[in-house]
Amino acid sequence: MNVLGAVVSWKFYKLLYSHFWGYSFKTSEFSQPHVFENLQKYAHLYNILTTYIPIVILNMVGLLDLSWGTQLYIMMIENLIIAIIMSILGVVEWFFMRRYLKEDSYKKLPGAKSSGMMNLMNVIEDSDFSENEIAAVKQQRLKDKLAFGTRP
Amino acid sequence: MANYAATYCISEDSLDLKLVYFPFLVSMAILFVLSVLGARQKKKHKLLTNFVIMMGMLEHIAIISQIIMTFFFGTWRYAIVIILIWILHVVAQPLF
Repeated sequence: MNVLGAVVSWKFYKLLYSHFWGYSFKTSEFSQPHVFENLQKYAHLYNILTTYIPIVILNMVGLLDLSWGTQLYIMMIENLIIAIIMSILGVVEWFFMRRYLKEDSYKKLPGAKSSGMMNLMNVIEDSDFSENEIAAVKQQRLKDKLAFGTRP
Repeated sequence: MANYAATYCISEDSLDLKLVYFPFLVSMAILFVLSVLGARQKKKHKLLTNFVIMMGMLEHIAIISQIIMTFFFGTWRYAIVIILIWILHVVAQPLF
């Protein structure tokens, strides 16, 4: 992810909270999510100013200057559309990012004072386990309670 | 026939390659479908975010393809500008 982010596109850093096909690249929660959020916003703003706007201008000039019927002309249309769509989607994604980063933090046990404590059942229920698997875990917990009693 | 800049002649055969209509827009649609399927398969998969991530790679390829095409068709003015755009695009990656 770091290599792709540094060489291909800064957008790959979004993998930290995107849960690509349910997979998590992040092993712990952000200590300062707003720093990451701001970096992503600045990166997109920079991308709009230095990449998308010049591409839109260049390709619009190209489309007026050249004539239809070549692969270059088709590519100019494509890059123009992609630049417009991606600049809009990037801005829309800003508004989702804060919620996603908040959602992504671990849940505390009800009434737990330590920020390091996690509620295992919440984590399991929020993950991609099937209902049967969750039911099996719950059943096992019940059996454990009956066998060993509740911890004091 | 003359190239676009009318600076030299090129063989018509070289331009007689079969046109591929909107390969990147088709790829974009495929990536969107992939992201939708991901969101359906895994509830944590963020549809929009993952689509933007996958598009990051496609944008890069699209810009490089346009650079190649500008050289292929001898449109140097466009080549210089698109290369500058690509450099600005690449330089920013390690900063963020």
